[in-house]
Formats: sequence, structure tokens, C-alpha cells
Amino acid sequence: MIFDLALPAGCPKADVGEFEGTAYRLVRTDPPTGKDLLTYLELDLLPAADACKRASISLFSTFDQAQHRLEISPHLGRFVACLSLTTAHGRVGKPSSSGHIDWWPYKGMRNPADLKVVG
Amino acid sequence: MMDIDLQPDSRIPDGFFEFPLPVERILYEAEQPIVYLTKTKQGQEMLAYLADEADGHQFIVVAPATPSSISRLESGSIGIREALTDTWMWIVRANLAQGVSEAWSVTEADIPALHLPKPGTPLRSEHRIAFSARAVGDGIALGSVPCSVIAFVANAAKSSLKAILDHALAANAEGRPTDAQRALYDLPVRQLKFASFEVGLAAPKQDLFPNDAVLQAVGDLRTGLEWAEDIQSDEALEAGDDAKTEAILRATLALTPPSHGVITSVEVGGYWLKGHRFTLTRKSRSKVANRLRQLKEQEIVVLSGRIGEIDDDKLSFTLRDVEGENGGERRGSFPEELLDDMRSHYFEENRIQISGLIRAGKLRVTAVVQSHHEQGTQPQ
Repeated sequence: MIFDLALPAGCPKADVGEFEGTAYRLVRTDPPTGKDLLTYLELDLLPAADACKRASISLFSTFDQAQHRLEISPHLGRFVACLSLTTAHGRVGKPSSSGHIDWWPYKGMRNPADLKVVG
Repeated sequence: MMDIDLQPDSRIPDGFFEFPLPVERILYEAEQPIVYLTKTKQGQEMLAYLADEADGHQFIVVAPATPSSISRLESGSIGIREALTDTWMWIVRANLAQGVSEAWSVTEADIPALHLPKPGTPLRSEHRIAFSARAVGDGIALGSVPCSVIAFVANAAKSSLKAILDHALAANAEGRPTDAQRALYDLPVRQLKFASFEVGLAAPKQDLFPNDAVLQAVGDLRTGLEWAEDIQSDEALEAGDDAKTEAILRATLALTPPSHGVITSVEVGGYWLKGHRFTLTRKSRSKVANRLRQLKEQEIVVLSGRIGEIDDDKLSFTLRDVEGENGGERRGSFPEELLDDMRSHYFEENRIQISGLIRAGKLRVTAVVQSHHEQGTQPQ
């Protein structure tokens, strides 16, 4: 499969698989726009971070975890949107203790219309 | 980038921080460490919070950290913002291109609200306040909270959640609650605030209950709170069916202030209510009570017979040889405090008189006595 962004070699790692289920994303507008699906690389953020992580999109496993993230850093957005991921959407990393997950979308699978604001 | 005015006279002399700030221990991590412990070059441990990252700069709020404050932060006793703003703060601006860290002395007011955690936000999502109730009144102040206020607030939160969750989860509202039911509405207290007494409850363990059902129930409660708060509107609350409307009204009524006493209003909040804080007054209570009265049709009855069956767990019974009903029978339920009396009458095969309420065809006993004469009394 081809990813939506040019990724560094070996990114994502071989043990990062596809995923089916609901995930949550912090967004700035309702309805969300393409700007709500930019990577840190595109936003020129986290310059010191791992290059593979910078090319991913941050998601959260649960609504509660996403809302908690928003309460910790209110400047990140105004809403929490849900996204139903299928195996066609790309590769998704394992959640961290805070519920944060990295998503490396396949080509053409970053569609703001897939995001629905839920809170 | 964060809009903050960093004045030269607030600048802390160089020599306190490395570039980048060392991450001694991560307390909350998302795409990178957001809340963590760092230390000065002199070895003092500091709590660090990444407030912003833009245009090649990181802005990190740092504050003194003690084992006690970190322990309270990790246990959810205090929020991240409270831990940061408890004493004094510096903001470190890390220039990522030049590799330097500069620090300024700041106050909470200097930092734009969007670049600090919301007040009360705990370190872990499971420590968030799912549901809170706060009593407000002239006589309620730090150091002089009457015991009755504490009891009211705790019971209000519990009763409200019981009413709405029992309905949503189609639980049997009669009899003793199951351990799972009790775990749901007798939620762990996460926070107590004494300035104007507030109790904050944590969410139940997710593996016990379907989360969407709980959220649906809480959404229904939010409907009731919005309706009760708007005392100008005389529109009747309709939630689809009467049973659901009644559950919402009962849940809402439990959170309204009593008609008399020191509590004049109750503020209800928490992330279950999407961060909105509802204020219910005595006028809200009248509005809810009036609507509930419209909805309820009930009859007081006095029946005479003997207990043919009793279920200790469900707190239900069958009254047999009911006088005036051709020896027919009536099923009903009773409160737990009548269990001993009901059992005695059952085992002693006493003829009894009960009084109770019939609503929607269901009999709920309010009192029971042994009948000392053959003729009982029929519904008056």
C-alpha cells in the first residue's frame, strides 16, 4: 500500500498493523476540515521528535481520553471528533497509557468528511 | 504561537536549565511528553508542562515539585494546573534552532488560558470528575458546612444517578440493588471541596457497564437539567415515553435544593455533562415537582390478606385471600426496612393489613400491621 505522505525508511515499524474500530481526534472546527488532519511534519512541529512519529496523525482510543487531552492542552482544538477506521485507512500504532495512538494513513484516506464531531 | 508578554525584568538569569530540559520522569505523554518531571542544573526537581510549541520554540511552564505534591498529582487529589500554580512558576522558552533555554518568572494570569490545563484536570483520564454536585447557600462556607449539607449533596448525586441509570439499563429498581448496580450509582468520591460543599465522583469501571448506555443515560439527565434550569420556559418535558420522562424528572428532582434550609441552589457539573455547569434553584424544584405530579397518577390503598409468597432478594411478595377481591391475590413490593416485619407475618401466617400506593398497576407497600379483626378494609 502507498501512504499519504512520504515516510522515512522503516516507517511505520513492521509490527504496526491495520486497524478496524473507532478512534477520536481533536479538531478545531465543526465540521472538521483538511487542516484538522495535518501531521506534525506538515505543521512543522516536534522537530526533535522521531521522524516516523512526526509523519503520523494523533488519535485517541476513547472519547474520554481525547477529551482529557483537550482539557490538558486546550489550545489544541475545540472539539473531539470520532472516526471509524477500517483496514483501508492505514496503519495504526498501539495506544500509549494516555490512549494516544499514531495513524499513518494510506494514500487518499485523509478525508475530513470521515470525522464527526461528538463532543 | 502563545501570546505572552515576557518582560526583561522578569527574566531569570541563565544557568538554571539545560537545553533541552531533561525529562526525568514522564507523567503524561501523548505525541511527546506533555507533563513530566525535570530538574535544574543545580539538581532541583521541577514539574514541567508543555504549554505550546510553535515557530521553532517550545514554551514549558515549570514549577517546584515536592514528593508530596507529585504524589497528590498522581493520585488525582489535585489537578495539573493546581500543581503548577500552587506556589511560583517560571516559563522556559526553548529555542529549538539555537538550542538555548531561557526562563522568565510568570504568574498564572500571565499565561493565556488556552495554554494551561483547565482547572481541576487530573493527570489521568480515569481520575476526572465524571459527575459533581455542589451546594450553594449563605450558611455554607469553608469551616462551617453543616453536616446535613454534606449528607444532602452525597445523597442527591447518588439518588439522581440511580434514578436515571436504573431506567437506562432497564435495571429492576425494586429490591436490593445488585453489586453491579450499586457500583454504578454509588460511585467513588474523587474530590471533596469544602468552600461551598462539593462532591466529585469518578466514572465507574468501564468493564462493568456498556459505556454507551451510561453516556445515553447521562445525556438524558442533561436534558432534564437543561429543562429544570430554564425556569422561564413553561414547556412540558417530554422524553418519548412516560417511564423515561419520569426517570429524568426523578433524577433531576434529586439534584434540586430542598424547599427549606441553607441550600438555595445546587450546581451540577462534570465531564459527563460535557463540562457544562447547571444551576438548579428552588424554582427549578417546583418546576420539576409540578411536572412529576402531572405525570403521576397514583392511588392510596389499604388491603387485607395474608402473605402467600415472599422474595427476600427482590423485596416482593404476594398477598393472598385478599378481602373484597373474592379471595384473589395481589403482587407488590416493599421497602427494605419492612423486610423483617413482612417475613415475620409470612412465617407466622398472620392475617395482615397493608397500606400502599398503586402506580401503573404496581403496588408499593408503605406500612404493614397485623390484622386483629376478620374484616379488613378495602381501598378507601
